[in-house]
Amino acid sequence: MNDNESPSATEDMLADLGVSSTEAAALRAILGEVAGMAHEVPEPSDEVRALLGGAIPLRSRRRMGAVAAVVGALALGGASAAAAANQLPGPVQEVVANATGGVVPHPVKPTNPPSDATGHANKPTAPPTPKTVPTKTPKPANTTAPGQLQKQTKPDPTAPGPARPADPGSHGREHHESGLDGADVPKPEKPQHLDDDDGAGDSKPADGKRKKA
Amino acid sequence: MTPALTDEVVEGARESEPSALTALYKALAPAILAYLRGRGSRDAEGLTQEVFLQLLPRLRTITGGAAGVRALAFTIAHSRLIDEFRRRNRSTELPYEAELDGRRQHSAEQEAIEQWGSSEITALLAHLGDEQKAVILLRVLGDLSLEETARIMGKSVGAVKQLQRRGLLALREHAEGRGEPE
Repeated sequence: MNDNESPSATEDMLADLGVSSTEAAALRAILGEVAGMAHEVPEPSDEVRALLGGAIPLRSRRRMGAVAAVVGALALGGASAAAAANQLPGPVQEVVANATGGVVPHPVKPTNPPSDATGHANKPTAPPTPKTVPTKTPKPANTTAPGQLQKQTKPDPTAPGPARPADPGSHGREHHESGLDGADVPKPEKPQHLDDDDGAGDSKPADGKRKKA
Repeated sequence: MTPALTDEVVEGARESEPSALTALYKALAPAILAYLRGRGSRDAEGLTQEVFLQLLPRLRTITGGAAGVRALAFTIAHSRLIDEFRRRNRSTELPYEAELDGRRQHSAEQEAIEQWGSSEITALLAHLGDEQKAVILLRVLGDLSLEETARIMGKSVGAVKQLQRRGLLALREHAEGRGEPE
């Protein structure tokens, strides 16, 4: 590298050093030799050559593939979980059930699964049943629907009684049903209370009446 | 003389134009290879390729034109070199046996000459301390400013300035000694 071609950094270095012009010239020659060390263009490797040709780096491809795989797995898992919970619309539920049938370990049921006595299937169908049941049959269970109700209500007061405050309507109903068995409370109160089961605030006046009586 | 790295070349390289990418490589690779060799890398060619493997995919995100690309390239080169030094230090955990130690036969100057071929400038640089050499090479080969050099080395500008001054004075001193016998 000639003096005329010396990079700006070299001139800055010499200016910072504050030496005489002869010393600066000698140093400029030395630094020119240093700059002359950069004369050999190394042969690019295959990967670098591919990048120089404008190719997408292999690492990026792998990363993109990995990201796509993770996103796909998450989407599949989310869809199968939602299908397992029977929370998808009907056609989508069937599609997911067919698609995940051979992949997912737990079976995904198609739309409208038969309502067994198991807890998960009964939860969505539970609200309509109480309104029809208490008016006809206070205690004896003739059909399967009241049997389901009793199955739900009987184990609850024993095991997780205080741990379920989230559903005040059902909670109050359970207490009243258990109270009805033992106390001499007139029967008309029970259907009233069960009819007002939807409103949580109505159960308190009923308790108050009972206490007064 | 290697071609200069211009903002136009960098702009074309950012657009993945093969001709601009090749021009960028031809402008930068010799300086990076020389820096790595001058610092004593045992695999300067391989590290140079690693630098470009890291640099080229990042071109779109680099700001500052040619200066920015040059600074990043030497930053990567410096980091890879530090990694190599650390690997080298870790690999010397075997029990020491003087008979098997070949290093006593090679001074830094001899090693540089053997690796890079005999040249006066190589012999001159071998007299510098490692950090002095790094500052001189980064500033001359990379055409980097004091601030950029300080950032790459993780030092203050004042410290780099001091290293640069001592390095230049050492070069001048040894150059004078070199010229006296002749």
